[in-house]
Parts: sequence; C-alpha cells; structure tokens
Amino acid sequence: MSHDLLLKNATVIDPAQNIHGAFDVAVDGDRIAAVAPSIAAEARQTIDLKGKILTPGWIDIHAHVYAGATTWGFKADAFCLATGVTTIVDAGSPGWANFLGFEEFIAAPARTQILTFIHISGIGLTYGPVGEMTDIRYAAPEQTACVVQNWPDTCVGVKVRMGAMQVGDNDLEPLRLAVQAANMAASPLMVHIGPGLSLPAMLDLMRPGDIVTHCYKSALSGPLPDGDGSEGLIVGDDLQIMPQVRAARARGILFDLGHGGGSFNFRVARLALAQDFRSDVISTDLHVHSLEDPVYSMPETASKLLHLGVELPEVVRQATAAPAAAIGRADQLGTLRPGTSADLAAFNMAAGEFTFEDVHAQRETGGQMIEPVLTVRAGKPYWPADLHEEVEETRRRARQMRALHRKDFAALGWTPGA
Amino acid sequence: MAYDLLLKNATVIDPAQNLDGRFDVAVDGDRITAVAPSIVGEARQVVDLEGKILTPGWIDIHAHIFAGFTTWGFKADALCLSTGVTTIVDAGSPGWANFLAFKEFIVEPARTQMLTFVHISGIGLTYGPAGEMTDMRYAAPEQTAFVIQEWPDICVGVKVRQAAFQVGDNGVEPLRLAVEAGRLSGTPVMVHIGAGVALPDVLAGMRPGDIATHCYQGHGDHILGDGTEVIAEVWQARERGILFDLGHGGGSFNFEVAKRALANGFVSDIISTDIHSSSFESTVQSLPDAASKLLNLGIDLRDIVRQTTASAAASIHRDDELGTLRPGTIADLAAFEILEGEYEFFDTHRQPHPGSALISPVLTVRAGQVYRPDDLRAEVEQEARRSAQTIRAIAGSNAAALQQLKQ
Repeated sequence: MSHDLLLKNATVIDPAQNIHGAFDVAVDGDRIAAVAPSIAAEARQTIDLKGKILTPGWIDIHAHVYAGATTWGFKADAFCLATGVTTIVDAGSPGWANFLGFEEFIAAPARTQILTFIHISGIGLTYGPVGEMTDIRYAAPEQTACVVQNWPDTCVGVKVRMGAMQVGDNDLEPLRLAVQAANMAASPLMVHIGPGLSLPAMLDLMRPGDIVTHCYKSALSGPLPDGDGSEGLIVGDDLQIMPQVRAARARGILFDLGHGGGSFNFRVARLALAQDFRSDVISTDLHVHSLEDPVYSMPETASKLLHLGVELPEVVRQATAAPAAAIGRADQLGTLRPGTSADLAAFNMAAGEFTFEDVHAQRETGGQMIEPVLTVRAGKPYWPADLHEEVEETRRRARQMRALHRKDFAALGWTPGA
Repeated sequence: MAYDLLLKNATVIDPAQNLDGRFDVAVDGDRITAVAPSIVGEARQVVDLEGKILTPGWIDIHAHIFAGFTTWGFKADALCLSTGVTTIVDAGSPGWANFLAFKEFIVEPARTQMLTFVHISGIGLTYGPAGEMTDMRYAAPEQTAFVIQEWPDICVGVKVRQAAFQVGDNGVEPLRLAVEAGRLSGTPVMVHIGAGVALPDVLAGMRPGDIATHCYQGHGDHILGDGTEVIAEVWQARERGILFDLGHGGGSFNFEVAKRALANGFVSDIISTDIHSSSFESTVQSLPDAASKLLNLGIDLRDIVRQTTASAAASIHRDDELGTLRPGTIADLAAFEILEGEYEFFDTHRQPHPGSALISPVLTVRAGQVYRPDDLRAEVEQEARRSAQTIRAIAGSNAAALQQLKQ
C-alpha cells in the first residue's frame, strides 16, 4: 500500500508520545498513518526533512483572529500555515452576540483549525478603545454558556480579561460571572491577568483546569526603569513567585504565556524561570497591534523561551501536547499518534545572532531561532514561500486597522473634513 | 437586436419620470434599455405582467441585516429578492470597528444591493440588550467619517439612535457627534427618534437632508408631542429639508399616531421596514407589508411607490442610479399585484386595523436577473428565518430551540 504523504529523515519530537529521535511519518488522507524509525513504503508525495525538527502541528491557544469584526482581529489563516500553527484559538474576540459570524465566516472557511473562547462580555473584544467589562450589563453567563455548549466543535471555553482597564469599577464581578458561565458550560475559563486587581483574589475564584494568561506580564507598561523584576504580576515584593501562584499551580490552574503587545517581560520571565516557574503553555496573543512588533509568530515567541534557557523538547511540549490538553483536545490534537489529525510542523533550528524583543522594547541577542519550514494541516503540506502574498495581505489589513484604531489618518491617506 | 429581457403589459409606475400607465420595459445586461408603450423587439426572455404593477426596484433604507455579527441582524438577501426589494440599507448595524466584516461577508456575496449607514458608536448595533451610546467613549466621529469616505460604494451616511434607552444621560451629545461625522464625510445622518429625549431638541440638531426615522412611533416624544396634532417643530423641520422615514420595526409604528398625522396632512417621506431578527417574523414581514399598511390608511399607491423608490433613492443620494426606470440606470425592478380582500393589519402596539388591499410581490429583477418568490421560498426559510430564530434562541439561552434549528 502506498501512503499519501511521507515525511522522511526528520528529528521527530512528540512529547505526548515521549518520542524524540530520527523517525519517518506517514500520512493517509487527513490522518497520521504511521511513525517509525524508517518507513520504506511508497508514497504519492515524499518530503525529505533531513536536518529539520518535525513536531505535531503547533497550537496557539491565545490569539485574536476575528478580522474585520473587531479592532484586534487579523486574518490568521495563511499566517498560521506559514508558521507551523495548525490550530489557533481566539481568546475571546467573539461574545455570544457576534459568535455566529465567527463560526460562519472565520472558522468554517479556514484551512487552519480555528477555535475560540467565548468572551463573558456579549460584544466580545469588538472594540479595543473601551474596556469590555467596564459596563457589567454586557456580561451574559447564560448566553455565553449556551453558545459554548451548542457549538462544541468551535468553542473551547470562556474568556474574561481582569485588569483595571477592562473591568473599571467592577472588581472581581466579571470573573465571578465568567466562572459561572464556565461551570454551566463545563468548560475551562481563560483569565487575562492585569494590573489593578488582586491576583491572589482572582486565583481563589479559579478552578483546576482554568488558564491564567499573560503569566510573564509586568504591572508596568512602556519603557522600564532599572529594576529587579518585582513588577511581575506573579512576583511578590520579596522577588519570589507568590505562594498563591504556586498553590494555584498545585491545584491544577494552568499558566499561559500570552505574549501580545503588552504581556511579555524578559526580567519577569527570567526571574520566574530561575525559580523553576515555567509557563505551562506558550501562546502568542497575536493581534493587529502585536503582529509585526513585538510578537511576530509562535515560533519566534518559542525562540524567546529557548533563548531564556528552556530546552527544545519542553518548548515543543508547551506548543503541542500542553495546549491540546489545556483546551480539552489531547485525544485528537498535539500528538503524532496514528489515527489523529495529520497536523504537523517542521522547523529549522537556525544558528546565528538574533535580536529578541519584549513588550518594553528590551532587546537581547540570542543564538538560535526556530524557523518554520513546512506545515502539514489535515494531511496537506503548506510551504511558507507559497503563502507569501496572502501573509502580505494579512499585514496590510492589520496595518490599516492599526492606523484606524490610533486615528493615524495620515497613514491612511485621509484628512478629516477635506 | 434582441433584448435580454422584456417585461410586457404591466401598469408601470415610475414617479421619478412621472410615468403611470401601460408600458413595456426592456433590459440589456444589467441596464434598463427602453421604456415605451409598446416594445416589439425580440427578447431572450419575455415576461407578461398583464394586470400587474411594475415599478423601479424598491429601496428599504432602514433594516438590520448584519447577520451573525449583531443581535439584530438576519440574513436578508433572499427575503429582499422575494419581496421586490433590490436595495436594502442597514441602519447602522456596523460601526467603524466591524464595518469590514459587513463589507466582506454581507455586502460582497449578496445578490441584493446592500448598503449601510455607519453608526456613530464604534461597535454599531452589536448588542441589543445595552444602549450603544450610554457610554460616550464608543462615539467616534473621525473613524466613522473615514470609513464612509473610504468605502463610498457601500456607505450612505451616519446613524445615531436618540432615545433614552440608547443615550442614557447623554442627551443630544451623540447626535452632535453624529452630525460632526456627517459633516466630515459629506453625508446625511439618520436619527432614530424615541422616548426620553425631547423631539424638538433632536430636530434642532439636524441638518437639511438628515433623516428622522420612526416618524410614526408612539412611545413618547413623538411627532404629536403631548397633544393630538403634529407639533410645529416637526413642520418647521420638514420645511428646512429634514426627511421623515417610517422605520416600522418591532416598536415604532403606531396606527393612532399615523392616523392623526395623516389627518394633519403629515405623510412620511419614505417608507422603510426597520426589519430585523425580532420584527420580521412578528410585526413587519416585508417592505410591501409595511407599504400595505399605509395604502390601507388612505395613501395613494403612486405616493407609496414614490416613497419606496425615488424618495428613498434621493435620501441616500443615489437617485442618479437608483429608484427609477430611466434607460441607462441599473435594471432593478419590482412587480406587484394588488390583492383585494379582507385583511387585518397590526401596528407594533398590537392594535389591529382592517384593510381591503394588499401589495403582493410577484417578481423582482435585480441587475437584470429575474427572481420569483416561489423559487426563493426555501432560501427564505433556510437563511432568513433560521438566522433570525438562531440569534433569538441564543439571546433567550434556549438550548432546545437551538437543537431543533440544527436539525
């Protein structure tokens, strides 16, 4: 029997199966058919990946891909396939009021698997300039749960953002209502943590399996003063990871990176890693405002952790098995186990001098970059070079929305009233 | 030369050209080619409309069709083509933040011409349960004006809703910013009038060419003030060139207000439906349905057709290309028959009004393509009704209804 696709000679890393070594992978239709040290069978298409890393397709559990319908959303499909991401999860751009548009026009037509958390705010993240939970009338636990439960193929859980900018005077109430929705829907809750609210108080309300996102975020924004890293949200005044954070982890609460435009601080990450407090999951928080600077992509975000000393198999685990488990999909995603969806990613470990930047414009030089080479999604191979034009369109659209959001009308070639 | 389409023997009413009589209409490609008492040329398709009324395609300037992205929106394409509507204008469902989705996912795939007012609130009418201008931070005159000027083929103006539910404590400040956006973009503002904000204050903030919608609403602060006569400020506004649009909807058409106004000689300038996910299966089924209510209140059919064609086109500054059968314009047409019988119409306060005539759609031609209601019945069921029922079921957290809709 001949296979549809044979990926040969790569170094395969599949943490879910404890595989790390030279393996071939065979694909039939949209399923993994075999993983073995050497597969001799014929194949309609054979790709030699000698010298490359081959992993399960990467899963980005925090991004904003509701392009056109929100000020955050970017057109993610081609971008994902060009960067090794086979499943991308929107972190709450849709609320119950505009979920159906997401389902029909974003998720259904995409080649990438596109999933979402449903925001506890009925309008989701439509409008960047205004915090979505400053007006508690937008909170809708019943409708949110109703959508999550009735569209289980697309919805993975509930989202809430818990910073002062998002909740105004409502303190912990949005989180309470989001937990209520997640309980009704029997699904995990992703909680954006931010300054202005008590993290221990938030963790108290969260349940095992819920996800803290932005774990290496600083309470400060913009350029940083000299300091020691105590500005980290998960760090106490004594420069130690807060005991409540460790207790939350012990209870089964997950900590997600969620890089984004404001949530990755080298100092905080370094302090946490020195205390062996690793993120559970790597995610980008890619959106219109972080796409070109300072996130760039999932592999680049992962490369930052590599630069900070996290070893490659752990980085791959945080981009495959761990996110699959976080969204309750470990049975079908994040592994190369035969019979699962043929989602794979091949990378080149490039050596050289690379500049990495955090959200405070702190620049560091690293020696290794994880470069995407090939993505296989549902059995179909995609090469970054073939997606170049589509990715450019993604960037152009993102720049347009960014300028409109910032009222940079000169960049849009428009003079008000002219 | 053979025509592509020949519509024969109808009674043609085209108020823009002062036509009212027996005419044939010829179409080539997507354009009107000829209107004449008798056209004898060959045609690839001939439709005999003996006994029917033939008019320019109807234009509904107030509807909510941003299905999937708002609690109000439903899928309107097939419904329009089965009810004589060739151009439908969304009254502010998109704001600047989600306009591009409206353009890409609603307008571009539709057969019906779909246009929109852009809401002064950046989130538009995403969320029915909360007033969109109770928080002024959502008001965005510059971004709104940019969107309108950047996409003039789709955007016709600015929308604001000026009743207490929508503006909270903000009075006429949302209107002021909407007019600012209208000024920056050189387009009209459509203003929803309603209870809780004094109508004279609202009208005072409007410019000639701006549109007051829900002119026969009966919830308070309506055109009769506290009395039984149309108030002076309304007459003065009309004098200044402010237009009054019907905007039927789920709550904005009151027979008593309409009857009083008509008795005063105050007739709407434009008939529109304000059709949306809740109203279209209850209070207003279609534009011919809304128009039939006016017909049975004594408005002459020719004036009704003027309101749904030439006037509607002029109000959105499209009368050079829409709302007429002038040769060279787009081949958008609607054929109706006037059914006679005993009908009962209801306003949005569940008050009945008996009627003897019903404007019943027979055929729609959009950009030269012929559509018949019977051929669209399944689509109306699957698209329009299902989309409306689905968002209503989610709004009501009605899992049982959702399960049924999925089957």
